[in-house]
Amino acid sequence: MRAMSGIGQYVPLDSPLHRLDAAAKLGITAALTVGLFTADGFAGLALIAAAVVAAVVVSRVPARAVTRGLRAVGLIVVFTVLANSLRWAPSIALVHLGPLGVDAAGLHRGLFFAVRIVVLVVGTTLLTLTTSPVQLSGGLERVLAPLKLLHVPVGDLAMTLSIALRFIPTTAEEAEGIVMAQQARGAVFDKGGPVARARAYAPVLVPLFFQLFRRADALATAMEARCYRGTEGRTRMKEDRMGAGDWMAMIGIGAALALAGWFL
Amino acid sequence: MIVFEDVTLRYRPDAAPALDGVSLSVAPGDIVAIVGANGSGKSTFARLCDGLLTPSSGRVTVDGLDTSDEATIWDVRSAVGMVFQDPDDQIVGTVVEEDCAFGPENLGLPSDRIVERVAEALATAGLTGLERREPHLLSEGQKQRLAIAGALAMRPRYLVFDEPTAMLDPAGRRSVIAAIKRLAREEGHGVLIVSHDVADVAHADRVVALAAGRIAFDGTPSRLFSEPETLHSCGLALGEAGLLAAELRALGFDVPADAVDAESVVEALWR
Repeated sequence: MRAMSGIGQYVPLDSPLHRLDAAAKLGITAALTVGLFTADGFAGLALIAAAVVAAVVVSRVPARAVTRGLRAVGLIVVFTVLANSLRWAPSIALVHLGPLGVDAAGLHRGLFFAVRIVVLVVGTTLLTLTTSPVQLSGGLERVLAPLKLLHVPVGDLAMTLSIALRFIPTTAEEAEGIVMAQQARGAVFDKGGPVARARAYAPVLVPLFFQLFRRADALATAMEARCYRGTEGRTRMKEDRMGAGDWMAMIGIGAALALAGWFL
Repeated sequence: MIVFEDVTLRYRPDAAPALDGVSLSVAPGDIVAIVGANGSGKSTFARLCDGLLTPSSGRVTVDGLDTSDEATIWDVRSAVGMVFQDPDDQIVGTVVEEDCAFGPENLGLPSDRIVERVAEALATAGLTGLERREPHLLSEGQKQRLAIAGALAMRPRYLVFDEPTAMLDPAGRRSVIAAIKRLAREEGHGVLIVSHDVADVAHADRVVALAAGRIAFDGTPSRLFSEPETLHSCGLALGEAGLLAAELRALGFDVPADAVDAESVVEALWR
């Protein structure tokens, strides 16, 4: 549970990346995704990866906060490489491991997918690391604003997202408290296979959900007491708006990322 | 003025009333403590003040506005700020200033006025300099003062505290009580503190004790503290300092009856 807490948690710092408008960052993240998935070769990936690394440096976010997100997808990355590269009894192979062999083309493909996942995770984590949840939900609200015409409750969705993000650390603390309380009474969480471990967490989830529902109810009361009545007629302390710089950054960087993927 | 006129509230039609025929008023600048054992109806009382609950019979008005009137409920809620027991249940924002701005944003104020109010509320609550801090990195006392700042930013005329110090350590409790006293004495807010802690009650001008939904006592803290039986029947108990003060009084020392915490007993003896 502790490993899960803090993934993509906003790191309040002052950097050009932090100051960039949330909507612009959403646009760039979208372009990054497009670029990554249209790139055919390592050249395109390398260029995009270099851009992401540069962004990490500019953001001044500690490397540990960035790599924490990678730990969660580590298993997927390893699986991707293995699933693509290993062959059963191949005639030609780079390396033979008993009946298994490592296939050159497969390894190439596996590594390509792995790099793509890593760059994607780092790039998108950087979005939440450098954008406060309120700015993020505000940005999302502006990006999705056209959907209001279709009566999609965009404002309420954005508020829900923002509250969800705000309660991640609180919920993680709560889960940790329950785990410790149960360990104190002899529960074992770190023994046995994956199934046994997963099962050990079931008695944690029940009280955790109970707590969350109680908290949700209390929070709703408190929000009502503070005059929350939906996002209609609501204003914001920081009325974020895309400045000329934000537009230029979004279009420039976004186009570069997408084109890098397209041509390389 | 917050006025309760013969207020009765039943959570279910067939249930015993949680509050039974209560009449009471709180004026700006007053500090009124509502005490009582668990289930005495004191939290119900707090929630009636700003229309989170409405009476089954009788009337609650805030500066003349009926809390049962849907048309003016938001005026009532912006006039009455609520602070609950657990700050984590009421902090919405992800950094201090964003949370403080939540109320004024809901009132639809323009952004420059929100900024002004947030700065002012954070200063009053003693949180200036922590604007960009994330709530889960604050101490419990700071979190509770953030909840107070959040209520203050709506510029309420009354503040209702539901067990504001129950989850705090002594230092956090002192900082919150000091903030509450300053709000009533210097800023003229009408303050209602729901509590079961004698140390919170000692700072009030007036104590109203509830028992089984009815008013069992209405008077000054010193009178309540000099009536051990009333105190006991309200589910309150003097701490060690209060008991010591009572014994000293019995021995003829001049210790006032509202000296119930170590600090005020020492102060009284020192004089």
